[in-house]
Amino acid sequence: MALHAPLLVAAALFSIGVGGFVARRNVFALLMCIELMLNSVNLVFVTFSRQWLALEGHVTVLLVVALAAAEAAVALAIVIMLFRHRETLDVDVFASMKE
Amino acid sequence: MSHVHLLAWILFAPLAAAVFNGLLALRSARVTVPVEGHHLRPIDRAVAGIGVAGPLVATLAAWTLAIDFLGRDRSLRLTELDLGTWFTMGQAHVSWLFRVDALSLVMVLIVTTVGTLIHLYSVGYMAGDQGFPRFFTWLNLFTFAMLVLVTARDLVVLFLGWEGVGVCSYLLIGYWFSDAAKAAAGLKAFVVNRIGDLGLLLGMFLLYWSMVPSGQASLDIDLLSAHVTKLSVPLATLAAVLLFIGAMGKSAQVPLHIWLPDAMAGPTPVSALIHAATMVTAGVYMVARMHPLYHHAPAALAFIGSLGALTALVAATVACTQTNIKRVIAWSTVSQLGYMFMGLGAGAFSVGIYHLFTHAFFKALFFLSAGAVIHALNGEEEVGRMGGLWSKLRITGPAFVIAAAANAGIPPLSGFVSKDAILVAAWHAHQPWWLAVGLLTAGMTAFYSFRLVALVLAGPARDKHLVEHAHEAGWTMTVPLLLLACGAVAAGALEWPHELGGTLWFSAWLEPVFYPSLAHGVHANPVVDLILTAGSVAVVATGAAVGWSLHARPGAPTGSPWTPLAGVWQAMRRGWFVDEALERALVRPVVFSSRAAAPFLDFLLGWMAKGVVGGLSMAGRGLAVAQSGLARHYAMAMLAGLVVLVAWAVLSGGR
Repeated sequence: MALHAPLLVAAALFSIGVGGFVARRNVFALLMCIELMLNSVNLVFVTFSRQWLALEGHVTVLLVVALAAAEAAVALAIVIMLFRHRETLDVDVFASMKE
Repeated sequence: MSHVHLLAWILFAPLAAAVFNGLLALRSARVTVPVEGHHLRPIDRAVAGIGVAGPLVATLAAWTLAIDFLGRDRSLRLTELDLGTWFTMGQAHVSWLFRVDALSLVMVLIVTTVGTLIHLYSVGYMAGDQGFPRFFTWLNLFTFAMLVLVTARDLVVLFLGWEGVGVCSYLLIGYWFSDAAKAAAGLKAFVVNRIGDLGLLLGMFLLYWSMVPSGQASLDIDLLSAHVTKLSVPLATLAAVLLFIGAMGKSAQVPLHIWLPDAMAGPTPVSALIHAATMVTAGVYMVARMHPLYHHAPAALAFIGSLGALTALVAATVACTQTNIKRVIAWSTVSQLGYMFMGLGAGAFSVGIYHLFTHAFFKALFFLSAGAVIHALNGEEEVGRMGGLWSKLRITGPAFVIAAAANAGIPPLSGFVSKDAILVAAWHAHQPWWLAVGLLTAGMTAFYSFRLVALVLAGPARDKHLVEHAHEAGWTMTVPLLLLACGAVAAGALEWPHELGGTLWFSAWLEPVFYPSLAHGVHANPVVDLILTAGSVAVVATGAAVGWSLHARPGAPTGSPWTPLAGVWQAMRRGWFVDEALERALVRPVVFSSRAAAPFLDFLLGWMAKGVVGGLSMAGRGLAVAQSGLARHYAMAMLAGLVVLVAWAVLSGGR
């Protein structure tokens, strides 16, 4: 099976994720971009797992999915707290790391 | 107890006392109990007990060792204590090796015996001083350092003791440091000694360097002694003179003698122990210890003898004119040290060491009895306010006279025997000038010794009120005086001249160390020796008679006894202006040039400092821009870093 098709899709997904992460200002958009990047990596994992008939890639993907779910839960909780504090979802407002 | 154990006791009993007293001194500095009169606080009693016990243990061990040595064959009179390696560097292997042979034992006996008596004396003299524990700490530490100096087998360890005694000397001269002049005197002693030490260090380096080609370079004195005969004579002479420059600083030879009279700012027991009996003789000991080197460099020996003769004469002239009781004795010490070097210069090492030995007794006695006089007069040191003390001080008075007579060289006291031996040695070394200078100096020594006795003890009291309240000191001060007086009288018996029916016992004792041929001059003609002795006695008697008769009568002047001499007298009184000359020639140019260079250096350093600070703060401001606080920017930076790393990995082909 040709490798290039799924790898190109993964590269495109990762680029969209990175581009969105640095370009967008809405917190939810950022979280979605992170999901995109994680899943592009997942795609690479299953591709090569299939190619070399090795199970480790599948296992890693399951791990990443579980981690992503946990991360989403924590991140959404943080977003809710931030919103309660500042009444906004614009990340450029949260620049306190400067100090 | 074996020899090695005895040596360990000798070395470490004073050190242990210093450590204990140091701890007590720290404690007493925190808990200050006010001192009332001349009484000892409880903590002072503990300090006095420890401080005297340490040197006393060392003294007993030293005498046990000496008695044991006497019962042995002369080739077996040697013991060594090896405490392992200090460091190894290049070919040099420096170890903590302490050795007692006949020569070291003489020094150890002086340091411990005279030292213990002076420690005991200090208990009475320093009673009531707020810093009593501190004083005994330094005094014990000094004893330890001096013992290290005289027992070290390696020049590096010797140098350690050398610097140790220098530090203790500095601390004790400036003991009353709240008086700026006294603190300055301590600093002066330290700085002048550093100049000499530079010579000593260079000499050590030169000797080491000269041994490097042999592949066994070392500063072990025994190895050096075996090696020096292979040196070329100019090189040996240079090394010998460099080492002697160190001795000049420590033993106060012209022109590095200027610190010793000022060192009298310290308490009188310090003057007796450090600046008369022990530390200042370290230079004499060092030269005698390195005698194979000096034997190989006759020019250096001639230089030493000539400088010693010059020092003896110059210092004696100054001593004749001083009016401070301690400064007379201090200048006298410089003069006697000159005699010792004259003896060494004549190649008669054992005679030089013998004068060191007798001098330790009579000069310590001189200082301690002067201290008892000062103590009796509540700190008065000017002879112009003394006089008429003979009837008041029934123990100190006779002790003072014995010390002065021994210093003057009145037979049969010890000073006569050792001084006469040096004059005879100078004659046998074919140095008529040294003999002439030595005789002249002997006359002046007698003059100033009896001038001092007359001014202090004889005649009517110049200050009636002060003298009326004079009181004899307590037993801690008088017992050392009595014992030292016995030593000052009896030490002469050890080397009673041949021509007067004596035995040169002291020289025989040192013979295994020095070459037998050098131990005493060739006594080919006892008649010549007898004539020399008679001549020196006549000169001494004349000097003593003049000194006494001019100053014992009522209303005797403390200044110049003859008006025509007043100008010269003034020059002598100021020490021939050596201090002023050195001040003009060395100190002022240095101070002037540093003052002149200061603004320029300030500007340069300030500019450099500002440059560094400005550059850093600019860089900081530039870098702060990158710190936006926005997560997006950090993500971009991470991405850029990742791109660079991946690109580098790909382009380098995965290597």
